[in-house]
Amino acid sequence: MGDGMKDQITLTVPPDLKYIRLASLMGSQVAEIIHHSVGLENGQLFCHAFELALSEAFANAVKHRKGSDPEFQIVIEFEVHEAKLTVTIKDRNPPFGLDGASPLDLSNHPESGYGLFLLKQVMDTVTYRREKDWNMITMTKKLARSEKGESKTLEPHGEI
Amino acid sequence: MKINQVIANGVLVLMLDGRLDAKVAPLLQERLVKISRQGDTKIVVDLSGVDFLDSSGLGVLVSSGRQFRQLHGDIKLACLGHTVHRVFDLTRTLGLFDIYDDPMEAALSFHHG
Repeated sequence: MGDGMKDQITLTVPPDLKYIRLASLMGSQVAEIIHHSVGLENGQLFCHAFELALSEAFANAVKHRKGSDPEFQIVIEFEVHEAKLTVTIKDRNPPFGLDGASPLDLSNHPESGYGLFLLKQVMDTVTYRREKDWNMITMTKKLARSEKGESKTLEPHGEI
Repeated sequence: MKINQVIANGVLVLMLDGRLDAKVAPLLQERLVKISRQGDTKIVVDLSGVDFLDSSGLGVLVSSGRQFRQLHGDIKLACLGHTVHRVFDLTRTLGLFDIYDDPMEAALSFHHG
């Protein structure tokens, strides 16, 4: 395993919202294990970031499912690196892009559309790529004892 | 998620318990629509039992709050935990709601405003 990767954890989940709790809590549990092994200063925010990000990404994958392919599954892959924790959500939905949606106008307090915005707020990086028939959203958060995770919520919130 | 309701100071208080995510948000929305159709447009939502909130749950509260206000009522929130508060904060929706530490205080506020 390259790039300083130490561990890889994979979960395959049927595309049903009844499993959203499983996906979300797996995020917080993996993050908590890493937090306790590394000793992050902002562990609660770190764990909540993965819990929230997994909930949003899993719900997005389920809601955009087309057809009724019984083989359709959502794959969640964690990679524990020396200096970061990465999670990738993979599905075989039609392709999309993270930049395709209109920017969220927070000043007008929309009633929906906060999911992608929250993903980007709580993670350090969020990227999308298409490989063969798979959509892949990869979200990363650094493993550092810095104050970045905590201070992020205190900074002025930028529009996306 | 469990949704219980009581009347406090003459005001309906919804007490939510569990995770408010994309799976259960439609159930809360149904409940709030039913309540508004019964004529209860001034209510309190007690979030002390909610340990997780995502964008779906937030969307229901934002849209329902707007609908209740259009009916000359309001939804007031009580007892936001740290991570729930964080979601409101990140999305700049805290200012949409009157927020209280105590659901009884939230209920009383309807009589003072």
